[in-house]
Amino acid sequence: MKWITARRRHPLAGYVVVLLALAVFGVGYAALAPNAERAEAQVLAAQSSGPEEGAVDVSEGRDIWNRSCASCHGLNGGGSGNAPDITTAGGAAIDFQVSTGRMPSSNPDAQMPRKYPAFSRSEIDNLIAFYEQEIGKGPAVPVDVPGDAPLREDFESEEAYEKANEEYKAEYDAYIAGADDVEAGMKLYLANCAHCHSWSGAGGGLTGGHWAPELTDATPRQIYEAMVTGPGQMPVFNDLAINPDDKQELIAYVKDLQAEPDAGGPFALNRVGQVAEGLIGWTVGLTLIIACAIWITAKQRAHD
Amino acid sequence: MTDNNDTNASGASGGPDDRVIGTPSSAEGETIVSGADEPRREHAGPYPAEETHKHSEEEQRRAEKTAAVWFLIAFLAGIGFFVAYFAWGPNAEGEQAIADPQIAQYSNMALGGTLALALFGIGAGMTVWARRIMPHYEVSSPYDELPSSPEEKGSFSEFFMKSADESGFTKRPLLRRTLLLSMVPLGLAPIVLLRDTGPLPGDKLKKTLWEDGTRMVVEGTNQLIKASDLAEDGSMVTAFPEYPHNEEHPHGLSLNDQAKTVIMLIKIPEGDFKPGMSEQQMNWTHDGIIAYSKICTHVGCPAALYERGSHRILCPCHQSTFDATDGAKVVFGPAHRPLPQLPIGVDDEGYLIAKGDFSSAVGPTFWDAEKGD
Repeated sequence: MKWITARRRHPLAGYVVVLLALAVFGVGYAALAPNAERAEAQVLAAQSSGPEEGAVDVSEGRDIWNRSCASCHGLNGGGSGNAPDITTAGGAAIDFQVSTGRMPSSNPDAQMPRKYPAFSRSEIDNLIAFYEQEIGKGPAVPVDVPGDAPLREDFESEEAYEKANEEYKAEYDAYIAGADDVEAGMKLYLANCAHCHSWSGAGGGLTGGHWAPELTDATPRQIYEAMVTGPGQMPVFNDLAINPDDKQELIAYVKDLQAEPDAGGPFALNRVGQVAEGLIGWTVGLTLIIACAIWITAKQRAHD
Repeated sequence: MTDNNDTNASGASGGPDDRVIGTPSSAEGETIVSGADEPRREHAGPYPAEETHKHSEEEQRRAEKTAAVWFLIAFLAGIGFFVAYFAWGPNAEGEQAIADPQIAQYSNMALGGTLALALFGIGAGMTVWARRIMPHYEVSSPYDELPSSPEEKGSFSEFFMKSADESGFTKRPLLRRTLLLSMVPLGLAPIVLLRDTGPLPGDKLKKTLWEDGTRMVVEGTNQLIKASDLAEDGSMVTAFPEYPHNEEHPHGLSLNDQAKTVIMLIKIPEGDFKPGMSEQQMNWTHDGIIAYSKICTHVGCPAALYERGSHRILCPCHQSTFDATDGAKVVFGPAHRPLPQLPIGVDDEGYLIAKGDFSSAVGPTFWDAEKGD
């Protein structure tokens, strides 16, 4: 305690106390606040029965619907005060929202970030089968566009997983290689996507607390589904205005963006580029240099 | 964070009051060295100086350790620089070669980081050394008087007026007036030469290639757009006027014309248009599809962040926000003029067409942008 007593009148003591207090509250809140999404995902994952390969199971889809969707979107998908009517959303919208982990959402008032999906691939397929049979119609899941890579936990044996993985990779490579003109895809991306998602695909802010998410993890199928269904604040780019071949070129370009090495290293600044990185470097660097200059030339006090 | 050093400074001050701002007062120097048991060292120099901030031997020993720690950190960082340099070989065939862009980033970070830490450590150690071990002298060297004396000022103005009289400038009006006259054209020349900046813009700022009957194509694919292509609520597409790609125009529209004609076509759900829209503005839409210039009226960025939920169009440069359901009225930000609206309709084959030019001048606002032609 002598150490503290000796330094409590130091000119920087006030700042140190404020910083420490902020850090304690911030870290403490993050640790104590219920992370509802994670909890729900775990509960749902624990409840769900094991995946079944092959045919879809509409009754399991109904189970998932009743348990995880109907409380907000209504038993027949008509929506409620805090959730939209999804009878015209289509299987593509269901697949997009659930496979990116945005739905089921624990907070209907806020935009959901991408997270680990609460359901397995076969459960999502069952849910979509049930939706298309009993709830509504809309853009269908673009099945010929490659989606998520298979997960080991969805397979009984290692060989089955390896086989599915190889099939998936072949399908994926064929889809990307099938794009005729990636440069045309770039033009489409810059004209239609880059405003919100940034030319680097890092996403960006919108009004009213919304944001355009980053595209760094999106699979080709999720990008396709987002374009045809327009999730959240995103407008619709349907297959008539931008046809499937053009979409394929655009997706191939987004894949190029995703493969781009991150030039910022550990301080990527959302890949905004060298100019902005330089600006931050100058500002932060100059501030530190000025702080050093002040420290070097500061007049010493008698009790220092 | 209180500093009591100055409280008794004024009372104890016996020296001259005209000290330079930023330098310690002489009184302060006296109070700072409180209880100095050891005799003060005198500074041998051209100006009088005395030592302040006497450091006790114990303080100096502590500072010595601190500085030594900094120097050791600098030494280790310097060694780290060599480690970082030799850790990743230049061989592109090797596993961990810096030819790999990812490895190159780590290598750059490590090299720069260690070098910076080494240099900072040396600087910090030397600062600690200078501040807490070396003796401090306060040297006072007074400035000379800066303003001129009244006599000097008076003699200059006398000299100036005498010269003016002797030269004849005040006594010979003909000379003076012809000289001034000869300077008038030269003074006007810079203003007249502004004409070389080009002919007046005429109506070029207010006219674009859009005219009644022009069809629209999707930017990027040049596919013609039908009204039925945008039937889904929330649909949006960026479009240009249809323009021939031929030998005369190998690249289609010029960049200038692209900037002036580019539009966003947005399908607004039925009933979402605000009552503030005039009848004319509603007539300019077709079946819920509305066309706005994509160029922000503030400084001309592409304002294309359309949110289908709130129907806001946001410009990414300065956050000007327009309401797509209210004639692109400005709801936030530095722009103070709505995005120009393009009147649209369909032709016999169902293709979307323009029904005239924009409602006002496209792009950054200028003095008479809102005036019609």
